[in-house]
Amino acid sequence: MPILEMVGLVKAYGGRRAVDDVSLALEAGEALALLGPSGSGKSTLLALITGLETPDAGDIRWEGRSLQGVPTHERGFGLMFQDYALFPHRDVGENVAFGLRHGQRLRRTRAQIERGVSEALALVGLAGFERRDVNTLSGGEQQRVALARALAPHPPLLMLDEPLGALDRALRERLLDEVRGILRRLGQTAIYVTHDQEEAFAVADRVAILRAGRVAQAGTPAEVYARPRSRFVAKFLGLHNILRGQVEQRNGQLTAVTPVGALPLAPGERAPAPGAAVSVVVRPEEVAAAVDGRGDLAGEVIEKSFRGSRNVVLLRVGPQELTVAFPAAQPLPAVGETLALRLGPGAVHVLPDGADD
Amino acid sequence: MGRWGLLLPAAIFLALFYFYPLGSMLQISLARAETGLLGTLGSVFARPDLRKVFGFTVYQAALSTLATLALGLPGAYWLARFRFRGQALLRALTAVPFVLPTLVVAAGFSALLGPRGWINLGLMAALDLEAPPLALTQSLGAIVLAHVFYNTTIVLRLVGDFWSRLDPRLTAAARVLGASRGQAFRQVTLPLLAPAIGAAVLLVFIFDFTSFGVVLVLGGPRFATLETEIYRQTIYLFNLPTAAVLALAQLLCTLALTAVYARLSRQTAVPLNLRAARDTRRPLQSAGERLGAAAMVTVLVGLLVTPMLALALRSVARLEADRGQSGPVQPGLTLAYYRELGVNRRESLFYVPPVTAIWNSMSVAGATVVLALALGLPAAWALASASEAASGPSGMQLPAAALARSALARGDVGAAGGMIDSGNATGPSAGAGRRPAAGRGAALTALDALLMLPLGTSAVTLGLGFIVALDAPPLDLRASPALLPLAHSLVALPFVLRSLAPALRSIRPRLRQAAAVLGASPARVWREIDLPLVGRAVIVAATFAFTISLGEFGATAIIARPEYPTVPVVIYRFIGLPGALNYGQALALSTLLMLVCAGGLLAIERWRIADVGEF
Repeated sequence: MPILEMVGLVKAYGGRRAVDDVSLALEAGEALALLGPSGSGKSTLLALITGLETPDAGDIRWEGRSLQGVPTHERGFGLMFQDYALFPHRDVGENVAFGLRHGQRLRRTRAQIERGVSEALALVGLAGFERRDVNTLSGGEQQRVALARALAPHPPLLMLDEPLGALDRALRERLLDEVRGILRRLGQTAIYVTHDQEEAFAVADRVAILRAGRVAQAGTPAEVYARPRSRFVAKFLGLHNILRGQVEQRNGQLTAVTPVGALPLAPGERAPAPGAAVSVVVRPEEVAAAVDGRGDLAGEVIEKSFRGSRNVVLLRVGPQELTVAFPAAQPLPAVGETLALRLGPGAVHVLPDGADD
Repeated sequence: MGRWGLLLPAAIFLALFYFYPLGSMLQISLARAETGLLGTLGSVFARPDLRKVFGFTVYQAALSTLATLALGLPGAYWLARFRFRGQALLRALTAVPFVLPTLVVAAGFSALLGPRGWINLGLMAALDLEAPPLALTQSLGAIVLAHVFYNTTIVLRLVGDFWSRLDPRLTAAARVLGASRGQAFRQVTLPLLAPAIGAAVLLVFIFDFTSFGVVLVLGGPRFATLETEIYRQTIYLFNLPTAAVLALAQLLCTLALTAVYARLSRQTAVPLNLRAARDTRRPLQSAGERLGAAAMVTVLVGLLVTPMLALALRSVARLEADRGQSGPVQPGLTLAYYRELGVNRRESLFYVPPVTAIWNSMSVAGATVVLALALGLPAAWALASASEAASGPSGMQLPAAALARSALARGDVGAAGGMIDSGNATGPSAGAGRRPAAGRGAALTALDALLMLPLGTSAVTLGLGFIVALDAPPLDLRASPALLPLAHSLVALPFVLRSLAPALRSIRPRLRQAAAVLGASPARVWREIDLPLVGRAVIVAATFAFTISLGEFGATAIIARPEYPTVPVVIYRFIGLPGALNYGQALALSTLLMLVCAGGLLAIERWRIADVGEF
């Protein structure tokens, strides 16, 4: 039985539905990532769960009981704000102690509060920072204080709203590992809001991809990445090679006939019957250069860009452009030359809702 | 108790001590007229002399306000944006004139420019003249100068404080995006400062518009404003209907101004991520900046300190003959005027030693602070949270916010936070909340204006209202020591609200949300977040209430009992009497009051930095 259930949630601002009939459930101990571009309703959803906003329709249930009418401060959830919202007039220790002092569920003694603060700070690697001024902390330190503040009261549900959004890349990657480690270690039930799929995949047991207030797709990271349902989801996950075509049976194998040629579908694909129009996505990592020059496809190299561990190559194949990634060490033809490609067995995936743009 | 309930104390207070007395007074006044209100209005404004009074009132107030801005805005800029030695002292110093009673200001300019002042006495001594050569007082220039002296602090404080906490990175962002220095100022800084400037202009204009002591003493009979004319009509001519109609006209003007301002301020206010002034100030760098700072300091000190210095020095200088004294005067320093203060030379029953008057003033001011804050804090909170709901942005992330964030992905947290918060006002939900709340917004505008009403009501009118209405059951307060604190709280309440509400409004909604999510009930949120964060504004508000009470003269002169006078009343008694001894005593008392005010203010400033600190 799920610990948190959202049922048919709707929230509109002046006719525009920020959250539009969202139903999601969360098991105890599970980490769910809400993934979507800005304006997709992720943060509004958090506002509804915390009670900072009231839904126009639908219900939120915690342990089977509706949260309707329960004010924010009595819900006992944790929320880490996007810009941290640290109290500028309180030092680090007082910020972290805030939820321990005011939590509705438990009365704590001064010693308990102090212990809770030092434990929470130790957890985020800021032991001994109690008396520091929050205004003098670096971005990464502020982020840790915000996390400690949200964690200190041991909330049964922790929500994180773009917790790494304001940090630079190197710091983000390091803190991402730490956040994931902390959530795992605590077995914390959590909702993690982000627009970055790497973050979502790294942290979450399950992801829900939101689009214009609706759930476009939900599932484990591996599922969602392996089988995106729509062009939107595919593009959002960075799968840009999307082709329209028609299903055909060739040599005993289902293929999609596309503007770049006939592409064999990955085995086990639940493709529509032959003759149907489909959209397929070609996974860049399943594409290899054909050394002997005899590949499934061939195209002209338009652009090469070096990305550290790999080279990303933009190819023109017939009327279409495809993006392909190669290991950095692999020698590649120059721009303007032709490159033959061989498709791996799982390279071509059918988008079931391919018509949905 | 909802947010409207929090307005109840202030509303009841206004009803009892503002509307009831005002209504009684207008009723009694108009009962004598035979033509009714409109007829009286028409007949009064048909008189060219009164039309001229009205025109001059507006003219001198506008002129004074412009002159005040011309000095105050550059001053606010230099004080807000730069860090230089003696800044704290200068800031404290510029506050002193404003806390001085109008009579002290008038006495200061009189000691500098008047016929018995330094300039004229100096010229007489140097050129061996019989009479003062320059008529510098009793002129429009003297009135404007005193108003500038008096009100520059409003601009420095209201605009400067806000400016000093405005994130300089907003301007930096505009510059990086290609705006010139001037464009960045016009398109970023100025719009963000607009509410503060608007508030300052409104306050300064209304102050100048209803100015009493300064016009009375420095303008003289040639320059009558509505306020002095109401006083003259009431006290000397006993023409209550005319006085009432003039008061009504004055009230309508200030009411209209306030309503316009309330509307403007809500349209222009955006939630800002205010920063600690400490972080926004930078040292003077170029020669131009140093020169500008030096010029600003010189002008401010010159204008603001000279009259005060003239007053203090003149109060210990024997320069002219005592009354009845014959023979040449031995010029020199003397403490005679101070020693004389405690002596009951006239053996009058109503003579009160100035020490007692100072004690009276302090206790009345203390009571006023308590009362005005008790009424003003809940009301300001209600107003701020109501207007927040009316403009309705959710504190959560909005598209504009995400845009700002991605644009600033590598920038630092503070700058992104600032843009995100201002993004709330432009996001889709901001527009959404406004429509259904339109009715409440209008009610709010009306309420805001209502609470500002006492500010636009002349002190003389308020005093008369108290005398007329509160001397008989159901409210007989003639003998009550509460009468003065009540009247002074009435005058101070608008200032308290204007100091508190913007500060409360500018607290980021996100902090309240964070507290609520962490389990703080609304009452706790108020105590833990709002109260400490507005601490500075509370102190500013308390300072306003305290100094307004100390300096209040118009209403006090009318309602204070003769055996229970405040310091300004005693000064007025002395300054109205001829003779070097009386003039000297008036200056001595003014100097004492000046020192008491300045000392209190300095103490508050010091306490503010020590306790609340910067945030």
